[in-house]
Amino acid sequence: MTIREEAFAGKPLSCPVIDAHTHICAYHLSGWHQRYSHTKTEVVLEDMEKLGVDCIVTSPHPMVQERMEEANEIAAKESVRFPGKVYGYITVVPPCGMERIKEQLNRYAKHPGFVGVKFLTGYHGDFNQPEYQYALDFADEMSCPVLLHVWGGVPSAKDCAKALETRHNLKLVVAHQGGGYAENTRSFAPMIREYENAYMELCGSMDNRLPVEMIVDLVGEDKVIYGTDAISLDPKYEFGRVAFSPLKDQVKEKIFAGNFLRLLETSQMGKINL
Amino acid sequence: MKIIDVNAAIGGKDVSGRPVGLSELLANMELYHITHAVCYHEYALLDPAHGNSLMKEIAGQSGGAVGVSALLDPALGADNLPGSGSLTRRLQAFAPESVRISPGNSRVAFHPFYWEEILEAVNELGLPIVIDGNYTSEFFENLPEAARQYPDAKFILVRWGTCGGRYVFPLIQKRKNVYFTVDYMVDYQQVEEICERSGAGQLLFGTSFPQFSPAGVLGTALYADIPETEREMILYKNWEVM
Repeated sequence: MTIREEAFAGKPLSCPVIDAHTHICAYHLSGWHQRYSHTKTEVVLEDMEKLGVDCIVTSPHPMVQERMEEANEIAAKESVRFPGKVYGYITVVPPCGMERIKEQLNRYAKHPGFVGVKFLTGYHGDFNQPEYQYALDFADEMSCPVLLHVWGGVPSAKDCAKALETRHNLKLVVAHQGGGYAENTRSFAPMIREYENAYMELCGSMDNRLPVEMIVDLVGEDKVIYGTDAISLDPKYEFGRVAFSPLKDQVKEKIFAGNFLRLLETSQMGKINL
Repeated sequence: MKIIDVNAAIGGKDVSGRPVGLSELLANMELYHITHAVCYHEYALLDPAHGNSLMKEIAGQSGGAVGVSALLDPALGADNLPGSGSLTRRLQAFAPESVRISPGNSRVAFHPFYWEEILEAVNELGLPIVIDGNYTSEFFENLPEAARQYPDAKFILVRWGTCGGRYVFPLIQKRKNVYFTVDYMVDYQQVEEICERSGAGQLLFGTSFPQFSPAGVLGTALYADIPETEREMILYKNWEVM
């Protein structure tokens, strides 16, 4: 069966699927809501299995309230409790200060459950502040991915390009298709194409008029990373955008897992074992 | 499986700027296995009577694949539709599958005081009425009373729901003539939670084509962790019952 045929049958996909943008734990701030009985990690993983998702990479929700250490500790514990199913990003929260950030990066740099670094820019301040710049240098040294929250053009493609000018080893994964709207995707696309180590992640696309196949046309099939923002959001919408698209299976397989696995190949942080 | 899209449009442009006519709509429906689409014509935003007539003509050429949603402006009354007599009489003769109103485009609050003629007509005929966007907090203050005052009208909210559960759950529980399409129900397990609390009877499948691809909402609907009977209700049965 093709991926589309499996999807129209409502079956878990048989190809590898990595959800590279997730947030575990409940999140009821500012109107956000989840079915409460489904906020435990074990239940989330059961939900994910129904789609055929092999593993998730997560930055737990307490980080939104600047609870950096708690978020990273949860990610560490869940990666141990669910080996091969849950991986973490070391979440960097600038308002916590440089010393605490350095401690967290050092603490989890060699933890096998952590595969990269996560920035929630905007919520936690400007991309150009020293704490993020330090973490970018760390990621460059580790050759690992940085999942960068981008919404409504903040931070800008220019800021991202500047970060990559001198850092050739880190992998900058621009989240939310560059900011949630078609114009944001279009403004980021040239930068993603220009820099070998720049990627575009897909989640939060409900208001983006560009279907996934057009995003692939804009940035290239090797540059698109699958993520869903679960459990801030339900993963099935983003999943559907890829699975039901008219893209070839070979391209869908790159998006669902291949591209993310490839960018981890040279990383000195944890690896995903499918 | 049968799939009815209750929220599509024709006569506008897609994201690439290409005009969307009947052939483009039918091709999209085939690609995404959609068996029937209820459409309004974007010309009706300029001139409701002309746009609605165009839509009727196009639907007639579709072999039953496309149904008509008649867009109505509260300032035009019976002149929203061709024919003679009252708005109710003309709606009866025009026989759309649904009526569509756009408080945002009409620049008037959704309140029975301003929409009385249209609401009276759809209530008398028991028609579904799609309310197109502009879901302000004022709108949600007025909707419960409108739904109570016009119990035979079916109020359909489209492309809405994420971070809106605190409106969605009470409306579905307390107003049985308020419906939602699931294309923007992206809170975690939102469709499942609604079904668990109140059943699937007030959920519908809509795509907002051509503004948005149907691929995302297909994921929401076809992978929702609900009984097949409820999925069928969302995909087509609720609309057929209407």
